[in-house]
Amino acid sequence: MRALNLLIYATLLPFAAALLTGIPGFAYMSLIPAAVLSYGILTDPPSGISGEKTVERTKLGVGESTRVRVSLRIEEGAGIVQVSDVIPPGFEITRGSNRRIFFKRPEKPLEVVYEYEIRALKRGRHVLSPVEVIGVDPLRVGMRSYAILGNEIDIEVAPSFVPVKRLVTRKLRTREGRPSSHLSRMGPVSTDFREIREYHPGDPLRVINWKATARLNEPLVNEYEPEGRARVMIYLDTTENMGVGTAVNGGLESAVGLTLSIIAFLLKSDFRVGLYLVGSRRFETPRTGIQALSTFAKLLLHAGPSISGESFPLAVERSRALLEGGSTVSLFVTNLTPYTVDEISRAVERAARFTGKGTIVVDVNPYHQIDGIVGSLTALQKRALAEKLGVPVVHWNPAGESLPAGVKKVLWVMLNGKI
Amino acid sequence: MVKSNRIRLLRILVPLVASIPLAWSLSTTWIGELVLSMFRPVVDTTDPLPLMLLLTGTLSIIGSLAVESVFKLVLAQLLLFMIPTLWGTPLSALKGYTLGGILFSILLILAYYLEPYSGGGSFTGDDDSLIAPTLTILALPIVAGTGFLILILYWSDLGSRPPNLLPLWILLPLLVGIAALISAGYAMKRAKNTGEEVLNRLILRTVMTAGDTFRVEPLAMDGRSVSLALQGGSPVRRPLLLTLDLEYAPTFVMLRSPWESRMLTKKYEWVENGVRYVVYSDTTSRASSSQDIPSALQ
Repeated sequence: MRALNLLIYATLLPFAAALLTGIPGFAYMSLIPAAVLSYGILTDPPSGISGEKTVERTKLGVGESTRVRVSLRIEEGAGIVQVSDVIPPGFEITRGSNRRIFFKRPEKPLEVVYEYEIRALKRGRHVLSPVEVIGVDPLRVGMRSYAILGNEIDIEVAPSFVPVKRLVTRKLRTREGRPSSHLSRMGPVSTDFREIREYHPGDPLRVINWKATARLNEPLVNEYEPEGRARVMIYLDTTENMGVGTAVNGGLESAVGLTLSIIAFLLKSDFRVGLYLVGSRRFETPRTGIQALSTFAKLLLHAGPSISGESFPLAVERSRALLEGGSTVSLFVTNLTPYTVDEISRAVERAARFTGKGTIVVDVNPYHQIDGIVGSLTALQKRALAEKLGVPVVHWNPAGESLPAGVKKVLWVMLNGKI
Repeated sequence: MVKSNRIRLLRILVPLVASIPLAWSLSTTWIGELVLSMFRPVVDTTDPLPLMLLLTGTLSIIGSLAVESVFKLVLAQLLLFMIPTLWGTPLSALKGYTLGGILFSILLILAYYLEPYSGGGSFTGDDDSLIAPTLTILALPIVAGTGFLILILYWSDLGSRPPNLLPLWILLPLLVGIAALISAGYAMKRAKNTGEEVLNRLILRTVMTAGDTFRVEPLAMDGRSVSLALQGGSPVRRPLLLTLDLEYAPTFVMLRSPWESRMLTKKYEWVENGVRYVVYSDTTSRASSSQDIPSALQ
């Protein structure tokens, strides 16, 4: 029962009791509740609220913690002070509490400082809400005050990935030389000089070697090495098909970790790597150098199960310009189901037509995270589906196999010459 | 004695004190006779009151340890105290019932404020650090009310002189005074809340299915409404507390995530330091008359 209701009943009902029982003195029972009610209405709830919220670190990795500190000062009024904020679902509180309650006495200001610790469970740009302060009058008759302190604080949680050092095992290292044989025959040229050759119609003027031309009296041009090594175009499924499991520990989260780890390794090994988020319609053109990893991490930061109906074949079609004109390997990271297998099959065929190189499908099985038996049954079904594709399919069970193990499985197939 | 022990003791003491008028009330009925007849072989007395005191006192202690809610216990004691009066009261008992009723009116309020405060959610805080100062603040109106009661009780001879029961020459000025104070209080609060506002800060509160790492993108804005898209992230049912600075305060705000849409209406507003804060929360009715109900904080 609310205090206001109680006090109103306690003020009015004694008169009824006096009439009902014939004891007029019962009417006096209403005087003290009436006095309390009047005093409660006249008392101001806590007001004059000021303060701030600070976060120790706003850039974290998955699994890392940060401290949130809230300081609060209340100048006027008296009563109960409820302080709270909204922790994003991708965080958990590991120490302290974000919902506090205090009492502001009438005679002096209330100064409060408290801290709590939160741990990042999931990648992304999470928003920590402002602090909400609700003041309730001391006798809780319904007089309230409300204040909102500070602004939203963005906390960026980088996706987790396996460091390259942990991946380069002796087995892989022996195969690591293989990418050098994947040199592009076409595509943009680098600044690495190869030879001087005769001029062919269509050669740009800037490549003409004027000194050699003057010396031999025939047009000669400089030829350079084609730029970089083989390209790897990764298609990560970010459709609702990947939204299996929880937001924090689902299929997409596992796939993002796997993809970023593969990208890190490939960049370190001088591959040119591109990324297309199927469903989200966002992509990153092929890049080289480990410095590009942050660009990919940024793109993956917001990748979520998208409800747009973009299919794999459509994504391949849209990225056709990135696939053509070079030695490109396509890597499809998805959750293979009977509903998607035809679509993947069409995408594989289309990619092969554009690139002339091989394709690998990485099948992330998130069903083990829900139930072991369901996971095992789907694993059997996925193997049967994989045979229809006619390309190497790497099956990864994130619940049973670690991320490094999953990445190594994929790299092994890539570097083992199966493509 | 630490504070928590003090509160625990009060939770036992309040029902114990309430058992005194209850014992007196029951001792005037057949229950008192029954108890007396049961204990006559053991205790040589003709007055059932001491036995009833012992019985109700013991039961109230057991009750306060067994029952979680002190308020419900005291309320039950009050009902038991009043039940005998339904079958008529001898004139000699008028004073007793008047004093007992007044005592119960105080104890009932005390019992209510001795209950733990929930605050509409799970908050971390020392429960007793809320109760002790509340009781201190409560003491003032209780003492003031008791002082006034003493005057009336003296005038009416503890409620036994019917012509002097309701001294209107005291009551009327008192009621007028209270009414004036309450209206003055409201007027002051109203005066505090006015001011020249230059910016509108919209506070949006709701629980809905949205991305865990969404971005807020404005979709449409006109004088009456604002539509915001919450893009990105994995779907999760989550509380939302967002702020948005605008030059005007729309009648409603539409939040759209790929999985759910919510219409939030204006619930509460105040002006502070040139900023007009407007709280928007879920609507339960689309009737225009319900849009200004200040129930956002319930």
